[in-house]
Amino acid sequence: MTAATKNDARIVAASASLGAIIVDDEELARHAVRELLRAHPEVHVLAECGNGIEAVKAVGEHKPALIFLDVQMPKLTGFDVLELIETDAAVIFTTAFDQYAMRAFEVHAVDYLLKPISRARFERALEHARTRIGKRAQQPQPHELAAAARAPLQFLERVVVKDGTRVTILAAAKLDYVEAQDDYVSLASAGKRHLKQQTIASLEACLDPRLFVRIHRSYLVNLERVTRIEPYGKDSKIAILSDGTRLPVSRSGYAKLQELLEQRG
Amino acid sequence: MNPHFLFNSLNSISALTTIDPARAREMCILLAEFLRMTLGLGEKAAISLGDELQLLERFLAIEKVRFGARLQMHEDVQEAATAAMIPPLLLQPLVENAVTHGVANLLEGGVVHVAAQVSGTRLTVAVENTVDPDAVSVRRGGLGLANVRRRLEARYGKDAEMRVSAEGGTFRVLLALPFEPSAEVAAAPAGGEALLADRA
Repeated sequence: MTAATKNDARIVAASASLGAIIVDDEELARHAVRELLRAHPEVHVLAECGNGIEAVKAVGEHKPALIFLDVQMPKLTGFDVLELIETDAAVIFTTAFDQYAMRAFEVHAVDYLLKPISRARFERALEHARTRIGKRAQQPQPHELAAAARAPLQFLERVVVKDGTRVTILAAAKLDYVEAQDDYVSLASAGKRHLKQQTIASLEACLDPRLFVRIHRSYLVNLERVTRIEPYGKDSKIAILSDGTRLPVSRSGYAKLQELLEQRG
Repeated sequence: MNPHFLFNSLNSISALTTIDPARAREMCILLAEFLRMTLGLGEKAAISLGDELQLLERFLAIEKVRFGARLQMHEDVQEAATAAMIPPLLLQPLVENAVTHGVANLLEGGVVHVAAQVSGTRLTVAVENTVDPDAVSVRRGGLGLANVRRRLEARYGKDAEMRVSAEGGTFRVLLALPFEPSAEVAAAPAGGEALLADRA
């Protein structure tokens, strides 16, 4: 692509109309973003959301191209929201102070803005967003971003699951086991099953490996729930959980289990 | 002080400058007063509970601008208690926790309640706040609480007590320590109000 056509593409993008939503639990903070957008009549604010749950709903309803997303909010954080939405919107995080997120965003090219937000910095973020929207295919998926934005060595304490419009928050420590079902995982917790669109490998990567063990291609188990391991058939083994659930254990899964159980003494 | 507090306050001021310049200025003044009060406290071994409360009122007024109707506050302080001398900024982290781990995590907001009273030779102070009972991790401790506990121990040894409880939707920190009235109050008969007025 020559420099000229690149510029042309940018001019087209800059004048194109964009639908945006603003998510922040503080009204004044939402107002500040809205005000910065006033200089950009081509950006239409489709909704303002005072919490993450409203945000998840608004993304489904309005399908915005651009989301201004606060990180710290009640119930659902900005990261939780990203996990729950299916969108190719460009996401600009807004945060007062968050060194981990900043580090993550340096790796991924999604923008973040520190509050209070300066005009110059805001313009740059908007420019980035436009460039992004122009090449949608290369964007990482929201849940990938959420995983990347999590601080290193910090594991999920909770798993958010969306069922239709209902959002359930499960404490990671209360998960009994996870079963892979194609592109989904079935999360077993306190006798209930919750379905979430995620691969078992990507969930495994987010959970504390001292607590969750991949005992089988299709099963991830909470070590605290395992009461005993029994031989099953000629070569295989099964794990028996405290609620009586029996899960298959592969050979490599058994090696991992043994190692962890020994460490625990 | 939590850096979030400062940056979020500055963000509120930034938004207010165009919507309501008078309130923006008011908030600048509140923030300046709060910071000035905290700066001067480093050298002091003790301040009166009345002075600490003045600082907390500034702090909550600033947070109130951020959270609006989501933050409600109540104070139930016996007049005699305001004369009690306590280590400076003993209560500030408790109230800050009450906002950031309590009210800020609730969709509909909640209440921060500060109570203090003297009975005989003992001063009791309670800081309570609404919490989300469904929250996956209710933060019982954290650095703030550990620091308060350490400071109480360093200053009073076994004479001070700190109890933390979380029941239903309420998180409560209860402090019980020796009542040490300030020298001025011990000399003056009426105490309370006059003393606060002098210092203001």
